[in-house]
Amino acid sequence: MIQLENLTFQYPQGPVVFKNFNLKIDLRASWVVLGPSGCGKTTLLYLLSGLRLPTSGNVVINGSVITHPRPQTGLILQDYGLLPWSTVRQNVELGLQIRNFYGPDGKHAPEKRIPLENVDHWLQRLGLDSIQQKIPQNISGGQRQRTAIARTLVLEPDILLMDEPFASLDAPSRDGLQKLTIELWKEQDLTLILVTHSIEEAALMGQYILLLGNPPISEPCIIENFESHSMEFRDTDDYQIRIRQLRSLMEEYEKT
Amino acid sequence: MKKRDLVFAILALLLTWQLAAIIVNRPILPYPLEVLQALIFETFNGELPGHFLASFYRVVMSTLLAILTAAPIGIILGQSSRLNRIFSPIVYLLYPIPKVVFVPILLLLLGIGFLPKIVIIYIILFFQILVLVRDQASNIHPELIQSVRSLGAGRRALFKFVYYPASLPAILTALRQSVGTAVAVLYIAELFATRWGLGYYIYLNGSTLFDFPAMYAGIVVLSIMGLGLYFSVDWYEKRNFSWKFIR
Repeated sequence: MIQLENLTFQYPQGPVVFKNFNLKIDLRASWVVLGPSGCGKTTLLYLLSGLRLPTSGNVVINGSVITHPRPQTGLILQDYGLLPWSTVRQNVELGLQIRNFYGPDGKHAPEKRIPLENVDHWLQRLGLDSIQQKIPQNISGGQRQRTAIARTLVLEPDILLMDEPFASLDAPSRDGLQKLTIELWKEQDLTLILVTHSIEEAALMGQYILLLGNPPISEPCIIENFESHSMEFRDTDDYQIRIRQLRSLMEEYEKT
Repeated sequence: MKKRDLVFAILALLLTWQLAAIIVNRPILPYPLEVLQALIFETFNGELPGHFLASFYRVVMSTLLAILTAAPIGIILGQSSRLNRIFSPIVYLLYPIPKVVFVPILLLLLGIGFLPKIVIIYIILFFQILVLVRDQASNIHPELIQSVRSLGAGRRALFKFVYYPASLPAILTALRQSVGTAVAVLYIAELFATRWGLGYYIYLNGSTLFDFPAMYAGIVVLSIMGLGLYFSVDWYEKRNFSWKFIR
């Protein structure tokens, strides 16, 4: 279980983003964090990943307080974070290389070693094997995002954090990757936490939708959305109802 | 640059030189053909190859030393905003000082021979490489750093997998920009306390022996050395860092 316990976070000389914020996330659930720009969505993801630490309070994952990035938590950022000088294959191998660099120390890498054959599996699974020798500038946005996903999944994470992963993609690539993410979430028993500013994406991807308003945020607003998680859900009336509900809630939030 | 354009530029330069020599019509500006004859003669019968090797050795040694010391320091400063805050005022103050004025002081301190010439070129290149590499390292997209950190990278792994490869093109850019400066400084450094080097050779033939074709032969060799170094770095950069040239 992921728990945020009395979490307060403030940027140095900046505003308070979270104030005594509490949240519980069950493992293997899918959550979408929805809110306008600057509301603290990405900050929440950074706190969950251990890249930022709370000013006070704790982020607890499976009973351990997070004090540094956790090796079993995968993070995918909006601009993919690929090394521009490395090929697709080298990018996918990067996490394993970092783990080999430190050895199984339990801090930078878990004690379990992952075989290199995993790379081939994920290149194939995400349709990257034909472009594995290309560098990121020579592939499409969708392929870059697939590369970033492969790089993370190679490390066999149990939690997958995604920060607006499909925001800069065209509609067909976005649809394809949303479908793929849903499949991977189910296949890999992942806990998925996805940040977006798209109401449609939130309604499609999240079993739970965490709505964030203007900071400082103290109370979580959670909408249950169990009908989601298939592309067909978009053709139903429930989907349209959910979107209308989310839109009106967001409008209310923005007024406050 | 295309080869055809380069050949055209060389021909245009030679033609301009020829025309200028005809107009000036004095020994101080000989025809290109006379210079070519002197170049062939000095190469096979004179001491020009020895002077070239002395100069080449000084430039290459000082450049290698500058890369090996300035690049790691630049990466460290670019990686740590705290260290950069401490040291950047010092770099800021020292960078614009025209270091070539220290030639006489270095000669006094380090004596004659190769060392002071290498040191003066080294000091100039050191700051150019340091500043460019530091700026490159500190301008790496923060999201790239965070992504790699999320894969488990600490400071050492970030250095190896991100900062070092990201800074290599900056080192080569600094080198390319520095070649012209290095050759100019080499000429000045070789005017003092030496009997070997193209700077000495050019000065001796131009101001003491008044052998102008030989003097120009020295200038041509110095220019070819500078161009050769420039194109070598350019070729290496394009071959190994093609990702940098894709827009």
